[in-house]
Amino acid sequence: MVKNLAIALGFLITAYFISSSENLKIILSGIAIFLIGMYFMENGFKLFSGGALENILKRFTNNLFKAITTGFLATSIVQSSSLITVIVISFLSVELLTLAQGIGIVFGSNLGSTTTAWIVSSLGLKIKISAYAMPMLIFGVVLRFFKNNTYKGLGNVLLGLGFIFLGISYMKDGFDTLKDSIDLAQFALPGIKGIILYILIGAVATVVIQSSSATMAIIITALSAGNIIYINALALAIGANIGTTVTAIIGSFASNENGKRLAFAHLIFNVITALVAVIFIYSLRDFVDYLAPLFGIDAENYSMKLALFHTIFNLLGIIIVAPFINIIVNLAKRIIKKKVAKSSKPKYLLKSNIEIPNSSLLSLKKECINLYENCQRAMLHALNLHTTELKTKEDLQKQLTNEPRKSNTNIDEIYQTNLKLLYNEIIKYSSFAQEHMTSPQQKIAGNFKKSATRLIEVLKDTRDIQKNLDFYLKSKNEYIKKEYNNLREELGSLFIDINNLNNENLSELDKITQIEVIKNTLNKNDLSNSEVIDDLIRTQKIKASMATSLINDSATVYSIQKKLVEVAMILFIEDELLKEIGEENNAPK
Amino acid sequence: MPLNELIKKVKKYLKQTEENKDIKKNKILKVLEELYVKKAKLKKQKKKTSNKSDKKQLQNKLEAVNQLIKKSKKLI
Repeated sequence: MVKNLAIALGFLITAYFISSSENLKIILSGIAIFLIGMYFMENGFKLFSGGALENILKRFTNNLFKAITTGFLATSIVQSSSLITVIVISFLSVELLTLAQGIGIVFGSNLGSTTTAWIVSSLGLKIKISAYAMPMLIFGVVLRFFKNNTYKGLGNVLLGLGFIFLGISYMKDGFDTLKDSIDLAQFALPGIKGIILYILIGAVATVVIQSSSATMAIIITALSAGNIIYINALALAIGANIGTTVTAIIGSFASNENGKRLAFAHLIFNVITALVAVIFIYSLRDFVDYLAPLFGIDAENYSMKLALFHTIFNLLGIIIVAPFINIIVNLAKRIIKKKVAKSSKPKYLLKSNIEIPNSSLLSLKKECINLYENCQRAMLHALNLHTTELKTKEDLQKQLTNEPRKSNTNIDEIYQTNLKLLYNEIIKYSSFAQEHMTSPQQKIAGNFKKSATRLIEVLKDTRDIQKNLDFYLKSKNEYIKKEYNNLREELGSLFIDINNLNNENLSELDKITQIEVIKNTLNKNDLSNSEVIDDLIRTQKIKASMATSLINDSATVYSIQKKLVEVAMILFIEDELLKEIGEENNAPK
Repeated sequence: MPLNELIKKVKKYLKQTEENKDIKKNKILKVLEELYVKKAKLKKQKKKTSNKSDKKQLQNKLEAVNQLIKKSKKLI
């Protein structure tokens, strides 16, 4: 409610400014176009690089210097530190990078983002870049019509660059004319008060715009038009550096502990860098004045001097903070602890009974049932079925008649965050417990391990059919829709049958009979599926592409069902002889 | 290990295996007995019931029990 009100208020204020001042309208349009450009650039590089960017980040980061250099170069080319940070976070979550390597890349990326200031101040202001923007936009759009991802990505990059150039040009025009109507320089504040105020403005602006590059572009264009004074522009640049950490922190909320640790390290780095820059702001300004002629920058070219200042203070930050990277890593690990999801914690694997075979076997059995229940929940969600309302076959029919929504269940994420640890613990516990067991007991423990492995396989199989299932359940072709709904029904029905076996009042003989009934139903279903598909193809009720998807997915569902029956046999039948009878092949000898 | 002891051990092992086989055989016979009782019960229930879906369910169970009987016999 509050969020919606704030958004509405934001829109109203923006609308007021746009309608009240022509110049402001041009400046805000420039910012909007610039941001669209950044978006296209980022997307374009994702498509264009075809995994090359990920390979570079993975390979050239084995020491801190390499990590920083790689982060710097990658961001300078891609022109988006957020894209690099997102890739680093995804690598950290799958442990392809260590936290120290990730932090190194982000430090380098911070320095790389200062190249935007150079591009804007050197190209954007000196030449009429809007003239280059138009051909880029035209070729960019043409390239986007290609089906090949490389061309499409290149098109997006060109479109992005075109929009960025156009945005800068709009901002520049807006600030130029704004200066004629209002003299913003009269609000310039000298001294420490001014520095603090402008740092705050820079930080807030970056948080609002969600891009330090865009803020830097605004600062440079405003500075070159004379809307702000040089020292205040330096403070704004420092503020932009602080503001960008908020973007990373907000981004890290959705990530795991490694993403949060990375955001924390980013914050530490930027705060220390900003502190150093504020304390030595006048010395740094003088240092920039000293260095400027060596880079061929005129004494009056404040926008390029600002770019130089931006690079120098970020470089200084790296020199000061990088030697303490291990301390930051340890601090981040201590403050942001690994959060273990409830379901990933083993409930029954007690260290105290690991040496008592019968007791450890019971622990293993219960933990495997816990894993089964968690996997079942994830699978049913992926099939768009709700576990809590799925006790009987009537419940299942009720759910199947409802129009399915697109399932948002990310099985890979559930496995990584909730189930991998549980699976690991089962395997580890059973390996240690088996040391103290007799040969038949070891066989039972081995079977429990096998059931856990089967459950994870089944979970991954479900992930493989999820995409087609989502797609065809929304299809306008009623025949294919019905077939995919049948697959859902078969799996849902199997879960209900297996869940009924988890009942202590049921005799072992009843359970094994029920499993035999399930097996017979599976065989009938598999046969009927193949006949139905043949019939649908022959009568041209479904296309060949639909048929192949259905054949593949039916086979996967059949395999899932067989594995689940195997798991049910291990987990819910205690009598080893009955298990042996159940597993016996029915074919005559 | 002296040959005498080794022969003794092998004999003991074979005896145990035989005994185990007997135990297993007896267990299977017991299971078979229970399965036949279950089969008879199911047949009775099937005769009594008039509901079509119940009848089908009982038929499925009967088939399953018959299969289990066959499988058990194969293990003897």
